[in-house]
Amino acid sequence: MLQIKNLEASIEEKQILKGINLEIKRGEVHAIMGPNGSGKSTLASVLAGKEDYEVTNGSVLFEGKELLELAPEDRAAEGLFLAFQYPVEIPGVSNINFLKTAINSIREYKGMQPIPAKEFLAKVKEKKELVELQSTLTNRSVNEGFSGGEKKRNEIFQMAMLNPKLAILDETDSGLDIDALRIVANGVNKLKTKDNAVLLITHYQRLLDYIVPDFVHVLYQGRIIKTGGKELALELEEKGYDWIQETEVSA
Amino acid sequence: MELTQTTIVAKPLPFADFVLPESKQGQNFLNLSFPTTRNEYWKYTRLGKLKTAKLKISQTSNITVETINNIVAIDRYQLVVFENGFLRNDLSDLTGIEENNTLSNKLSNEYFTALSDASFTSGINLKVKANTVLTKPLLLVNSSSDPESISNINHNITTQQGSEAMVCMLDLAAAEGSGFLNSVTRINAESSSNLEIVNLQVLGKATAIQNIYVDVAEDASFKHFGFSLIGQLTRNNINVNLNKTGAYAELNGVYVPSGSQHIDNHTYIDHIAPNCNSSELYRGILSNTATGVFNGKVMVRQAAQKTNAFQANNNILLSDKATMNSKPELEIYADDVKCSHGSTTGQMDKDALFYLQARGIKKTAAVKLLVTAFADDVVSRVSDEHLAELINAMIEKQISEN
Repeated sequence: MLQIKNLEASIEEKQILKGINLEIKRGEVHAIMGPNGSGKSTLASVLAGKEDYEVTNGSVLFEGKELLELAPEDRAAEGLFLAFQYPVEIPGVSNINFLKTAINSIREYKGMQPIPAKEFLAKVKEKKELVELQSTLTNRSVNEGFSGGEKKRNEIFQMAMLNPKLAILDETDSGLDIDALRIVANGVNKLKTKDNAVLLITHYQRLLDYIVPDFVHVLYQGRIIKTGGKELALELEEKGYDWIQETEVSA
Repeated sequence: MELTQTTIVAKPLPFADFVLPESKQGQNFLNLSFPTTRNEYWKYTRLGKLKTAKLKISQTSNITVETINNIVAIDRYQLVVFENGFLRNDLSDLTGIEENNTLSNKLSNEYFTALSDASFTSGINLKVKANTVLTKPLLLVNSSSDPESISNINHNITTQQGSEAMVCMLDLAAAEGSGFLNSVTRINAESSSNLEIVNLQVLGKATAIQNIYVDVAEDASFKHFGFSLIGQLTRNNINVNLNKTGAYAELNGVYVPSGSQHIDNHTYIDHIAPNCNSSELYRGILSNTATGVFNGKVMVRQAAQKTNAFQANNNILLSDKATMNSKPELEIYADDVKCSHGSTTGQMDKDALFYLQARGIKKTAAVKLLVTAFADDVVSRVSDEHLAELINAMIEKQISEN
């Protein structure tokens, strides 16, 4: 589904990603872990198409298409979803209007008619329950005045509404208490099918207790320096990132 | 008022070849000089093109009900239409309204007010009777259809004690050329009355200058909305006196200049009496090489204790070449008051834009969504939801086309 080859990217002339190679197949859950400043969020932003970053080398194929040549909205329409680390507050735009516009833009991209109002509302009702989002929140302005937990739940609610092929969850666990973490993780697990894939970006192992990855990658100084199964996360939690750095240097 | 060649005064207008009637208003006008950017009041608005324009009095009748109906559905209103400064009797319903042909006693030192006071050709006198509600809101159209016309209009509106009225003023230029619409509106909101004015400006290539003078009495409320959608050169001056305790004034506006358009809003709220509230919210969305001006002055007199005055002006520049000049002013002589003002001018919020795009919304649609939301903070204050919806659609259309 996703093939990242030798991806290099920089911001304001400072190179952050120094040659990422990663392949994600449908049905898989991947986790990228790494210390602060290793390039985790940069990778998420580059994949979603944030223009602050300049891709200096490499390629990203998503379902056979060169992702890096697509506008951010077209990447979303192709089935890529980024759950933001810091969801943006948008005063004056209601959550409902926002979602309807998003769904219909994606439908238009695919040459489909706008979603019928009844079908849309039924979908909102169903998906809202998935992340236990309060009814009043859907009618309020996007993320405005939401608590940290509500913002993250709203991200997963949007993911459920848009039904992406690949969801990138950028530190979705940060700022969540244990109950909110469980709700968010449950939501993601329920949305998981054999046809879609998830890329978790996280600093801590605890999210991986709830969403179990097939592969764990360690990102360090802009490169993936180690890949393993879910047990790698536990080992990291126990021994810290220094352990990886040392083993890599000695290897 | 009729203008004829026989009522000659000494000096002709710089921009029109008609003459003023012999009157103390005419004499007053002739003592004033044409404003330049050296005047602080006109610092950011250049009138050079107006000064050199060759304009004339024109009685052309081109406007049709359809033209108006295409903008505001007229069936909900009592329609009164002025075209190039003259009343269109055939299109107007004058129930309860008189045509204004009396010179004002006031001698203004503001150039364009003095001009209109000395030479206006028509206008309305509307008196909303005490303790009544204007059943059908008034749709007052001030239009220019002759590219070479100058029109001077003077309106007087009084809401008597305890009455209530809504007036929609539509300023419209139907011709491609550069007509000049000059108008003066004097408003008297008597005690405990409520008046709301919604002004839509769709002015094409015309030059429009309007001066509004408002006196608000005890416990009366005056709300004004100015939506300047299109206008090559638009200048709105609103001057409000809060004369008695409990008087309230709310001035709001959205301006959306594009191309090389220039829209200038000057407001002046004078807190004369104690216990009065005022609120101002103006938002601008500027594209291409458009320029905007907001100058909002709030005066709080020594006697005006317990004043509550709020003012905000926020602007989004959609282009690197658009310019906004924003100047909030507070002058306070009382010590027990609550006054705040703020002005912001910036680009579109890039993070918000990316967030919307990352959900599949095209950049142009995302811009539209954000800008409409920005304007809606003002539009949603219009009490007539039907009209608010229409204004939102007009703003959205204006943004989409630029």
